[in-house]
Amino acid sequence: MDLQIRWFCLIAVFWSGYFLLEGFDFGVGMLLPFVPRDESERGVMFQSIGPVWDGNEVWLVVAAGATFAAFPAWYGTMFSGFYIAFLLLLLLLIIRVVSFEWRNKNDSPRWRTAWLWVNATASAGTDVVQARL
Amino acid sequence: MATGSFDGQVQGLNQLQKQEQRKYGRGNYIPNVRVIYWSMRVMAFAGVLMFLVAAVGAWLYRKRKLERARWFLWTAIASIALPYIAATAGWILTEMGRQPWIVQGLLLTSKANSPSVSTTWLGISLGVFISLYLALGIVDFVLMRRYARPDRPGPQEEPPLPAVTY
Repeated sequence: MDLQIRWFCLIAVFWSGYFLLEGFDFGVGMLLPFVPRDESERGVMFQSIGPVWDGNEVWLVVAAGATFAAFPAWYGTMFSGFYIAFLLLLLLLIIRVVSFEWRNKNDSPRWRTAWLWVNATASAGTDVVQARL
Repeated sequence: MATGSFDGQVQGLNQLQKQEQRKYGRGNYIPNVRVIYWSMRVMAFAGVLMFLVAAVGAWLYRKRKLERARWFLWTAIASIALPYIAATAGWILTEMGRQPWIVQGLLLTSKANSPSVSTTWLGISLGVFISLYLALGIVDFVLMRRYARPDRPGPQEEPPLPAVTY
């Protein structure tokens, strides 16, 4: 098998892994405002993705890195052609990550609700951007 | 040190410039010397300063004076900035030092930009990232201040829950 084909398959695996695993996190995030009935259930939902979201996101980093290393022209075209979309994606991912870390740093219900909505909105937004790509 | 011998010759910038012009055609192949000169020194001095602060701290600890030496404790707090300064200076050193190449000998920085991404959009994205990180930094600072207050118990962590089994 050619080196190119091998790398193409590898990158396909990376992107699929990201969409599959992180898609689960996004799904949980989008359901956060609607499914749980009280604060402890919200905690359960947050904790169900709490330990894994960062691992799942690394798939995206590896996928982009592998694209860059194996097919620079593809990477260059994709990331400059979809510049605004990728900018939006990155911003949403950043504020989503912050919501995991900061939600339980303050007990006030307003603070917690705010970060819950940030997580849900960012999860939904990321999916919209990805679908548009 | 660069050649691994005591009487090795290190070529000057002007010689290298001539060589590179012969090899890659006309152009300026000298990076911004002033910036590299100073970023290298800022990085190295900040690193040595960190060692010194640590050494003084170890000495005070041996003398059992560490907790009472207020002047040193304040110095230690101020030197929190040192690793960040050193890392930033080192980053500037590598990024400015490799100019005008983005890939040495293969691709010039001036030829590596995306024609479809305008300067305006680069500016917008940079501005958005700077303001986002600034806002996050401010909130982070406020949170840390709240935690540092001795009278205030920290907020309750998420209650421990039984692990989910599948």
